[in-house]
Order: sequence, then structure tokens, then C-alpha cells
Amino acid sequence: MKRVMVLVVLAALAVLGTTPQAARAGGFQLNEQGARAMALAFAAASGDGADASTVFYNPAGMTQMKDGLHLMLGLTPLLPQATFTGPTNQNRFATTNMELWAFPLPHAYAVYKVPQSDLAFGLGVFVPFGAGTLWNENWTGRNLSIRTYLQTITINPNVAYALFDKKLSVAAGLTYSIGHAELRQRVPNFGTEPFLNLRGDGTNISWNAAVSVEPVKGLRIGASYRHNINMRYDGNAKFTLDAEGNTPLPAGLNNLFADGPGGTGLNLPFDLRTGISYRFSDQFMMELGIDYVGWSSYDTLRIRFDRLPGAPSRSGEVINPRNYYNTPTFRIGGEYTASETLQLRAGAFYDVVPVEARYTQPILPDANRLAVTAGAGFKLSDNLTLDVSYMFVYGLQREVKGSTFGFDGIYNSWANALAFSFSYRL
Amino acid sequence: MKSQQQSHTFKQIPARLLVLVAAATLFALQACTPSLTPQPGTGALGSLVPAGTPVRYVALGNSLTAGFQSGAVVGSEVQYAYPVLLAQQLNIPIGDAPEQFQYMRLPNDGGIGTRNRIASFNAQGLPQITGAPLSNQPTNLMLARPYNNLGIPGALLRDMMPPANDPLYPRRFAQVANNPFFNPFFGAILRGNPQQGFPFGANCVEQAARLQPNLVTLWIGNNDVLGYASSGGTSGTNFASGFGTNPMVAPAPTEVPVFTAQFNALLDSCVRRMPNAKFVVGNVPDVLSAPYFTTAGAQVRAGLRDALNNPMLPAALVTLIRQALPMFPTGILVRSSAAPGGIKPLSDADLFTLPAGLGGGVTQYATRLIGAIGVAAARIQMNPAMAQQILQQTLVENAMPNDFVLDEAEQAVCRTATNAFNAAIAAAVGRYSANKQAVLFDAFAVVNQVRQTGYPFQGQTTTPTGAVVGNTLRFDFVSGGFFSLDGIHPSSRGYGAVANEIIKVLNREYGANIPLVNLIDIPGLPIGQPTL
Repeated sequence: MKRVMVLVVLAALAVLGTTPQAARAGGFQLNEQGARAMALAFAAASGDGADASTVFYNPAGMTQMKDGLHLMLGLTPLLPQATFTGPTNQNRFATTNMELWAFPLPHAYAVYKVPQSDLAFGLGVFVPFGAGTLWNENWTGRNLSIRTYLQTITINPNVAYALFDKKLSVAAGLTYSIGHAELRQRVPNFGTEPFLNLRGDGTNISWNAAVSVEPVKGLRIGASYRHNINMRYDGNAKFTLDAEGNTPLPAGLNNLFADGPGGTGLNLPFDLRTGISYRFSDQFMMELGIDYVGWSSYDTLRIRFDRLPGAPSRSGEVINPRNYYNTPTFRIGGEYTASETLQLRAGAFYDVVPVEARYTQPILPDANRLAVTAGAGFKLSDNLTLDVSYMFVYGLQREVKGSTFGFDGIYNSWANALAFSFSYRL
Repeated sequence: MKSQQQSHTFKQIPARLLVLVAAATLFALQACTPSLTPQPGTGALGSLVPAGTPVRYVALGNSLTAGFQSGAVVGSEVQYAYPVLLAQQLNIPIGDAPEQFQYMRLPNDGGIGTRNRIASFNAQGLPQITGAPLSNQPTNLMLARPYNNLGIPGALLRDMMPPANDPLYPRRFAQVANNPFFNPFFGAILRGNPQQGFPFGANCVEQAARLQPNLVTLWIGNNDVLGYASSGGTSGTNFASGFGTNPMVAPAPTEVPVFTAQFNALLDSCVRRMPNAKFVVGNVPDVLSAPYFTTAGAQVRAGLRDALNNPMLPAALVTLIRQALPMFPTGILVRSSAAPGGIKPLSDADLFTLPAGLGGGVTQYATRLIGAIGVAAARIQMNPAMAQQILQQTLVENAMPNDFVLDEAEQAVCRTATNAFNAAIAAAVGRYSANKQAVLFDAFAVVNQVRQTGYPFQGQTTTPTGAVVGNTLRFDFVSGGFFSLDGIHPSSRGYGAVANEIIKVLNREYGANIPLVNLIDIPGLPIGQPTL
């Protein structure tokens, strides 16, 4: 039990300490919460309880796990990349590369399946939403975006119960999320272009629920719903001469752009995952999944300023239209058990872009995304399993014409990710 | 349920297949290279110049062409004059060689004129503007050929190609006492004077012809109405009628018949001397939409109201004024060259000039007016029956100076002149529409459009309700970004917009595909010390 405590503490420390971040899913959602699931292109919502990451993908699957305590700890280094070519409405066709910025996304889970019962408890710590984009501070879109950083750490206790001889499992959980948001851009009105650094923090409590059924032996259908996380980030807005926020503005400008409290809010979208898996044989299983994400919650981005830029004697809100809409993602994944100690996996997904081209901004270069994944699971001992996987996400080229922000151009984006998960069963 | 055999098949094939498909897709995706659907501005020139011929470009005009802004031509900003931007977009090298593009260079923080700067913003966020006189020599004064940018700030239409016996033109070059016609830009840009001669030609058209251009932009005529407008109707350019020599002649814009004849002669001569050139001819924008005329009004009226609200004023006096002028300051008298009797009540439609507001002239005037009304109040107390007459006499004696205000009648004079000038310009251009030897750059229409909708600029801007809309350069003084700090001339970015509108004319008229200037690559209004 002592060893367990050490592992749990280590897991928590790892999750909280790695400044988890993120980037590439539709919008700013992150699905990278387990190496096995990533190898299957996240087609892991049927709730078969293959490993403890089922706490994230479908907690009803916890009832399908073996009795006892299961621990998982992992990391998903993610490297999103993008280029912008334009602004084409100014007949400029130069290509700017987004700066390289990698994000180590951690995940940690503990599941306790109460022995000889239909009851299971689980705890997950993961990063369900995040984004990070970084452009050169002098680039042509600097008044739209230089640095954007969004992180959400969610702590998610769940309980699951199985009925009808484990043919039906249900689960419910609470989420406690800690959010952090940063926004950096430049104000281009004058020859001296101040940097605006906005940062804020917030917390939120929300909930999730899941169900999984096995109507026929080998066939499993599951659905997992995570409710909106309505986050309010409170912090401050700072105007400086340098990007990092250290050099104050000269007297000429500090009466126009004044530091002060500020913040923003994001209603992080709900997420309904569905999956249908079929075990063709002892060796081979396959899952199809459709996710539906409530991006329409991201209709406006409101930034609060106690001292409005350009009119610091007033407070106010800057209301940006975003007009995202709900979109599906289609997933397929397969797993082949080659031997007692080795499983091979592969998958693919297609993620429908949740925003019209004309609202697309360098702050978050969204695109229709096609991804392929591959991975393997290695049983290192009776108790210890290592899963590894690789994902390549290809963002279909996005051409913006008639941009709401006067910033037409062509976005190309792609991402590479590796994932490692260690699973330990007591 | 699958049979055992089928299961076996699945066991063998699909997993390998999946891996194969995944790997193949991976390679396919990695191999994809971004392709551009819209075509970049190719720089193709269409029918602008004969195929294979480099563009030799000359710009003729006034301050708008010279890149004058914030009260001066400054070394660090003259590179954003629209002819220089246009030359860059046309891929003409900037340099001294004959086929390259050259313009008057000045030391970086030097210049010619009185340069306005934003010293700071006060606690209310209002700009504090200071001016500094600059009188540097061009650093490339010795260039052994004419400049390609021959825009001369202050030039009237008549200065483009003056006759040999023109009485005014030589005075442009004479820096002597009591010569209001002296203008340092003539000597600096044409690099000569009547006494010592003109090595490259006696006027800008002669110098332009010497460069044998195949593209000329000609944008002249603005000062033929602006001189009248910016002085609040106290100065004029109607010299042919005797203004300036005959004190009985009231100031007015250049006479329309004179303008028409001069413009026709100018374009005829240009076409004759530069037969291989295509001419893009700009017309005269509505000067009254510039912040020079639209900014000071609210401030001036508030200043006058504040003067009346001074608690030091005797209550009886304030009551008297409020009875006589319930709409104060509307109703106080203002001098006007266009009004019958030269005096008229101030109306809401009257425009105040920028110097009247920002220069503090109106503040001083308000103090004087209120003082005079105080004296009148004392006289009225002694002689109440004469109250109305005494107040009226005081208002007449202390009527607001003419140069503070461009009143309704004067505005109408400006509009009439502008419309007539533009009709003359359009007619002159129309005579050379064959082969598009001359085409019109409708600056009047462009400026009207920008005044209403702003000029598109990337980014986002907030409305008064906080909603974010597409960003634009607007006409608002300082905050709008389109105009420089003199309120009449565009800023560097404003000149970028002008260059883009001329490029659009070239692309449209000659089937060219010249890329536009990316406006964010041009710096915004300078603030504070030059080092910033």
C-alpha cells in the first residue's frame, strides 16, 4: 500500500508540475489522455476498460477492469506546427512559420475495482483543453496574435456500477478544473507598438456521465459525456515595450495604454464520445467512434479590461466574434494482440473544423484534420505495462477569404505527438 | 458471429493491413506540400508598358505626392510617400542610376517644415502635440538628374508649368522679407532658382520630361481650393481676379475657368513632351472631410461654454447672455468673407480649423469675449434701455476671427470649386482616353468612401458597445490612423492606402497584377522623442 501511495503522489506531482499545455485537436480540445487510446485514434469510448485511461474516455468501462487497484501515469509530448501565407488581401504571399513550441501533456489515473462486486471508483488527472501558439513578435499578424496559451487541468473522480451481469455499466463523475489563460499581441496604432499581455486564472466544477452496454458477446457500445467547463479567468492586462512584460511604456503612451485588472471567459465545450467496438477474435478488436463537441459555446470571446486600451479612464469588455459551431469527429482504431506480451495498434480520425474560414485567426489556426496513429503495448511484467504510440495530424490547407479581421491568407497546420503510458496493477 | 475460419483471416490480415494503410497514409501526408490557390501579385504590368520595357516612373504633384505629413517632409517618413511605395511595388530599384527611382532624401530626423509630434497623451487620453521647425538640406541635392518624385508641397496648379513671365513663380524661390509666396520645397526639389538657373529644367514638367518616363502620376489642384479652406476663407488663390494685389478682391479658390484652362494646358503639354507615358491623373478630394476641419468643433464649443460657466462671472451677466443667446455659443458673431456684410451668427454647421482649437486661439478669444461682455454688462446696468444695442455692438466688435471658422457659405464655395475642378480634370483626362493614355484616379470618390467606412486594415477594433469588428484606418484625428498630425495630409499608412488605390487603378485599367502594399509593414504615427 505504501508503494501505491508513492505512485499516486508521484503521479499527482507529475501532472501538476509539468506545466501541461496543449495544442491540436479541433479548437483547443485535447484528446491525448492515454497512449493506448492515442494509438487507436482515440476510438476508445465503448467502455471496454482496457486500461485505466477509461476514466477519461468512458468511465463506465471501469467496471470491466480486473479487481483491485490500477494505476496509470503517462506523458504525451505534442508538437503542433503551422504556417501562414499572406495576408493575401494585401497581395502578400510570404509564408511565416509558427514558432516551435512543444507541450508535454500528462495524464494520471487510478481505478479501484471493488473485488467481487459491480462497483468501481476512479480518479483521473488530465488536460482536456489547452492551446499554445507562438508567432514572431514582429510578424505580419502581430496585432492579431503573438502568443496564446491556454491550459486546463482537470481532476475527475468517478464512480461506476455494473448491472445485468455486467452487460450494462453506468458511471458518473465530478470535474474540478483549474484554468490558466494568456494572450499576447501588439497594438499597432503608433510607431511604437506596445505589447499587450493578458493573463488570468480560474476554476470550475462540472460533471460527466457515461454508459456502456455489451448486447452481444464481443460487441460493446458506449457513450461518454463531459459537460461544459465554464471558466472565468481573472487576472490582469499589462502593456509594455517588450514582449515579456518587463519594460514599461514611455510617458507618451502610458496614459493611453494603462495596466489594470482584466480577464476573459471561455465556456469550454461539452463533449459526447460514442464508440462501438467489436472483438473479432481473441487477437483482434476494432472500434468505430463518433464524437460530437459543443463548440457553439465558443461564440464570442469577451475580454474584460478595467482600463480599456486607448481609453483607460473607462472599463469595458472587448467582444470578439468567434461563432464556432458543433462538429463531429470520426474515429477508427484497431488492436492486434500479437502475443502474451505485445499488442499492436493503429487508427485514424477525421476532425471537422468547428469554425468558418472567415473567423479563422492565427491565434488558433483551425482546420479540418486527418490523423493517423500507430502504437504498441508491451507487457513488461505481470503487473507493469508500457504503452507507446505516435500520431501524425494533418490539417487540411485552409484558405481564408473575406476575413472578419482583414487578414486573408492560407493556413497549413500539422502536428506530431508521441505518447507513453505506464500501467501498474496491484 | 464470425466463423472460426473468418476469425483466423482477420487475425492474419487486418492488423497488417491497418499498419500498412497507416504507414502509407503517413508518408502520403508528409509528402504533401502546401499549394497556393490564389495567385500572388505577379507584378505583371499588362498593357501599362510595352513588354520587356522597364517602368520609368515619375510623380508630379503637391504635398500629397511629396509625402508631406504632420507639417513637414521628414527624412524618416519621406520613404512612405505614395510614389516611393508605388515604385517599390513596381519593382523599380530605388537608386541614382537613370532608370532607377530617386526622391529627395533628408537626414533621418531632419526635414523641411514644422514637424508636429505627439509629446504625450494627457490623463484624458488626448494627444498633446508639439511642433518643431526643421530646415535641412536634401542629402542628395547633388544628384545629377531630376528626382523621380517631383511632388512639391504647396504647389498650385499654376506652379506646374508657369509661363516665362509668371509674376508669382519666381517668388517661390526668393527667401526674402514680406514674401508670403516663398516656399523652400521649390528650390529643394527642383534644385535651382531663377537667379542661378535650373540645371535640370525650370519647372517640374520640364524635369519630368527629361527622365523620359513611361508612367506618370499627376495629382495636382488640391491647393487651389485648400488655400482658401485651411485659412478659414481668409486667403485665396484667385490671383487672376486680382486677389493679393487688389485689396478690394475677396479671397476665393482658383477661378474655375482659369483652373480649367491651366489643367488642359498642363495635360496637353505633358502628353506632348512625354509621348510614351501613361498618365494616372488624380482629382481633388473633399478637403472638408479632413480632420483639420472636423476635429476642433466639439472642443471649441465646449471651451466657449466653459468660459461662460466660469463661477467668477457675475450672475447678472450670465443671465443677460443666456437671454440674448439661448444657444450660446451658437449665435455669437463670427467674421466671414463669404457672408453679406462680412459677419454672421455662428451656426452649428460651421467648421473650426485645427489650429484654432489645438493652438489655443479659441481659448484666448473666449476670455476676451467674456471680458468684453462683462464690460458691456456694466454699461447696460447704467443704461438698461440700451441693453440690446450694447450687447449687439459688443458681439460685433468681438466677433470671432475669420480664420478660426470655415462657415457654411465658405464650405459651399469649397464644394463648388472642388466639383468644378474635378469636372475639368475628368474632361481633360477624357480627351486622352484613347489607348488609355490618361486614366483617372478618382481620389474624390476614394476619400468619400474611406470617410464613411474606413480603409481596411488587418486586426480588430472595438465599437462603442465593445463589439469587435474588422479594423480600419479612419479619419479621426490621431486615433483614426489615416491622417497625420497636421490633420490634412495622410499618415505613412494613409499614404500606403493611397498607393494601393493607385495600384488598383493600374491593375484595373491596364490589366496589370501589381501587388498591394501591406499596410502593417508601414509604421504608425510616431510618438514622443525621435528615437522612439
